[in-house]
Amino acid sequence: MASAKEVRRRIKSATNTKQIIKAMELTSVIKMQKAVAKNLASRSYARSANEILHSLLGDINPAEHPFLETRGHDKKLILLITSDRGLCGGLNAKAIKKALDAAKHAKEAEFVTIGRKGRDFLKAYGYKIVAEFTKLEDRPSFKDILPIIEVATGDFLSGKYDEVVLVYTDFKSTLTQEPISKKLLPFQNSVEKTNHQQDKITFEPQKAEILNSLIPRILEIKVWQALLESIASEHSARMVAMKNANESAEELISDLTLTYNQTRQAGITQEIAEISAGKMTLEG
Amino acid sequence: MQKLHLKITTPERVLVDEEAREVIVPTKSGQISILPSHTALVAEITPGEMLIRNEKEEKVALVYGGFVEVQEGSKVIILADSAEHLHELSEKEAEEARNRAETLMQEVRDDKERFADAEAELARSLIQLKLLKKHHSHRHTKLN
Repeated sequence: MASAKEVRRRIKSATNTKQIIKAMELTSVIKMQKAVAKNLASRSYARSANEILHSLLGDINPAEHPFLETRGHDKKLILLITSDRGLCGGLNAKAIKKALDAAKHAKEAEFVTIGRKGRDFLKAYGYKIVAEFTKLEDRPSFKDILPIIEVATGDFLSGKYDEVVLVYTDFKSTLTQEPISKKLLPFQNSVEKTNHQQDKITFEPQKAEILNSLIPRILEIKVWQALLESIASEHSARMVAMKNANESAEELISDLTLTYNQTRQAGITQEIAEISAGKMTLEG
Repeated sequence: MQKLHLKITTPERVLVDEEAREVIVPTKSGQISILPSHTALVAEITPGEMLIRNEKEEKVALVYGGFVEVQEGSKVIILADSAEHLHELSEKEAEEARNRAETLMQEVRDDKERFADAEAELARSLIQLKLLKKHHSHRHTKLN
């Protein structure tokens, strides 16, 4: 059995760690609340954008905008959103796994990483990263995602990639987050088109002009929303992870305290036994 | 009487989600008035004033650009880059914002990106002031 002194040292170290965990839990609660509020506020904006996209796709020909051109699935670009920092449970590992799954179906796959964790992993395993972005999560602003979009759309338009896939973590609730992979480009029409359906929408001023500004905008909104979802997920996951860690630390401390008391008690009992034994020898 | 179902969303919030009789939006090809049973339409919005009319009241809001979609079935979706209700604006704040933006534009002349930001901020405050002045004088004449 470990000595009382050693057990005491372990209790102290567990208590210190617990304090740090507690502090991290509290900061992540605040960060989570902010991120979730921002995410929820922008959700219906993103939903409206999707709705507009949906009705647009019912009305236009793939030939009318280069983002609609389907070329196959051979060369993929995968945008992977992970967090910069760890200690958030299996969040990043799950997102990375999802991205690798998406890569499996393609002959060639290259990555754009947003967040440090995904970058580090892919680099370590020798995947090809064409661009990396970090430090977006602290203060995400719409401007920050424009270079990401530029990389993705530029190489899609030049024909370097046939498909652009976005992998991020969808925020369902504080307790559940789910990695999702979504095809970003080309935009695809899910409804079968008939001639009757086409050209129903009036475009003001010009159809081509509107499509050229609206379609990239919708793409930006999609990536932006994915980023917000991922940030909200990250902070929630960290909060939960820290809460669990805090509970484990408490459990550990109470176990150690029990051991410490037992060791101490054993020591005292032994000392008493020795003293009385000594006394008996003297008296005897 | 059929009504429009109007939804105005921005990245920060849902500004309006309600029924309306008529909506007037500023677009690249001039102001468009949307009434129930309008044909399907997609248009680009330019910064300016937006009117939401009902039987008795008329609401004024400010949009700073975006898109409007009218779906069949009288549903109107406005995807605004940013938008505010008129009653949320104050002349004093708008003045201050304008002054701030003007000084900033002098200071950051060489920094292209920050200059563009300041310029956008200035344009924003100018629209606010224009709209406030217009509705202020409007109210004024009514009183007389």
